Amino acid sequence: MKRAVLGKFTYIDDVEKAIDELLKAGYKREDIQFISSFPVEEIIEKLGGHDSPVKFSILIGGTLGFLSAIGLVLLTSLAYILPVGGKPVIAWIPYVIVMFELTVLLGSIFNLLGLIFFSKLPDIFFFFGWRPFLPSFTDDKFGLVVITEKVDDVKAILQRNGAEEVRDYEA
Amino acid sequence: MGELVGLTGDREKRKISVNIHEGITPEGKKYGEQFTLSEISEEIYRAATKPSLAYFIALGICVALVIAGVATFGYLVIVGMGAAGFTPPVFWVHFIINFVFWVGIAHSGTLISAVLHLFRSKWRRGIFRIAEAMTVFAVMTAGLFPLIHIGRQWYFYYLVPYPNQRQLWVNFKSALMWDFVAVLTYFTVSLMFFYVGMIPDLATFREKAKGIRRFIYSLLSLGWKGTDKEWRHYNRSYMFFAAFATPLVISVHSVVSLDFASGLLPGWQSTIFPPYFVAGAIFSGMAMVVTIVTPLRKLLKLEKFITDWHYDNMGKIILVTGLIVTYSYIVEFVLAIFSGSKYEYHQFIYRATGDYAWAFWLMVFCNCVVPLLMISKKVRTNVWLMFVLSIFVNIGMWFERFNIIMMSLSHDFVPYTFDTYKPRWPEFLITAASFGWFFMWFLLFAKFLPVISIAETKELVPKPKREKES
Repeated sequence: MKRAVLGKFTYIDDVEKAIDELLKAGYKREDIQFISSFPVEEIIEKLGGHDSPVKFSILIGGTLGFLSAIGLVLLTSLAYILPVGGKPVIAWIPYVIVMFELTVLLGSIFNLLGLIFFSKLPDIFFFFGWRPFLPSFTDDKFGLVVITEKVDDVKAILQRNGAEEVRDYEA
Repeated sequence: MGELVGLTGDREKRKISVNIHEGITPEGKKYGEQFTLSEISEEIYRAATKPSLAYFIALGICVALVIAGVATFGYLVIVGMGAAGFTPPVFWVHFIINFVFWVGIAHSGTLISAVLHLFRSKWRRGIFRIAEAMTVFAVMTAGLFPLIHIGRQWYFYYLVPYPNQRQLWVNFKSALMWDFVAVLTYFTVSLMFFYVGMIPDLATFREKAKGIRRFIYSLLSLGWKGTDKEWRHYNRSYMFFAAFATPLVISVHSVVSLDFASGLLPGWQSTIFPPYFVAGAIFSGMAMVVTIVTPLRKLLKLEKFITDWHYDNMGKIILVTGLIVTYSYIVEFVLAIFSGSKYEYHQFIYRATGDYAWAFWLMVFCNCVVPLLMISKKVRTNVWLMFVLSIFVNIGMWFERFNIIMMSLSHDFVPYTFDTYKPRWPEFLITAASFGWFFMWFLLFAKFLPVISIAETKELVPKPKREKES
């Protein structure tokens, strides 16, 4: 039965050492979770890097926006012929603005949706207090959560590396 | 790269060699080093709680102005736009001036949050949240004016392209449609950018708040915990928001300027308008940030977070954009004089010497002369002097739009149609109400949401390390 072991740290180098030891002991990156109130680049790097699939959602959104803008301006121009200002019925130059704006609009909306989707938000379990978390993590403390069956081993690693408080929860 | 010599104390003993972009506190520390992690959360949360009496008085005045504005709007709907002093040939004045003014104000928010984020500028961190909020509220204010101005508000939905039984479609070749699409996009993107940037800070507030506040922050923060995976997606998403918002800064006010530039009136049809409007928008927006930040930092006791360093940099942006605006004014005149168009020539001579010459020279004084004082670092780092100068810039930029819109409309091609414009009380009241509306939202924001980014400020604090302490 897997459990989540939570360690509370004050110092960032302690967290780094704990992660190094956990990785050396064979724990997978996917089972280790670091919690902080601001992004700590070196730890994000250690636990899997900065790359995020959010970029694909933006690409999809931007492309959809661009294509829908083309469709919108073309179909509306053809559905209701309105020759104005000596311009042709389908006048591409004025349409560039609409295409640009809709590309940005849908790209941004998909960006937000991508962030929510890939970050698994909203986290319903968190609302009910079913996530390993301490309020001080939004203040000045750092958290390390390890999903494991070897609870005692992990607790020992965390404590050895300076964890001030160690708890375990149902995973 | 340059060197900043210690701003206080003995120069020889306290010479501090730092990157000029770091900022130095009076204690000789880099900006960020003066805080502890928990102090940042505590101080910014404290700023959002316990409103003072002054706060309630200010909010009361704003709400009263909004109520007066709504009543005046109702009066205009019943009586008609003629009650607002709109007579041929001047149909577009106060409300469209206010529209352009508020869209312009909205600009520096995105500049600070998006463009400076992409440039990894550190000084933006103390003020960007306030600037972003200003953007959102300014667009919300601007958006009211076309609605008020059209007179028959119940037909506003005609602007939305949707299949209808009239079989009519909107004209995407019209500058007004570009404006509608551009402002709508700008508002939506700015709002999302504002919200995404706030999610981690709302989680901090959630852990500090109690009762109904805690419940609201819990909903708004979406259960954010601050895990490395969340931060990874967040950082990437935020960077893309900044990348998307950057061209929007340029595009929105360019599109607003095309409302005029694609018209035929003398003084309007000019290719200089898009860059001229964008520079003017950043100029006025940055001035408005100074106008808002100065009382706010005092009221919320945030002097530690918003320092001389921020004012120095804001002053530099106002100075540079002010010079661009001045250059644009000169180019407009040069083009009018040498273009060979007698209509253009007459228009610009009329602006400088006609019925409203006082408005023109007031604009020149506020936008071209006053910002020159910011060449001095002493002026840029004098908080209250910057506040006063920023108000001059705001006034000057309002009158810039007055000159462009009113002068061209009242003096077009045919002397027979020339006329002057006399504003009546509904214009004044609705203009005052727009300030009430804008500041009302701002005051509510200041007491419910984090006015400074907690997460980004914490990034500037040296990370706590056991090795360092031992």
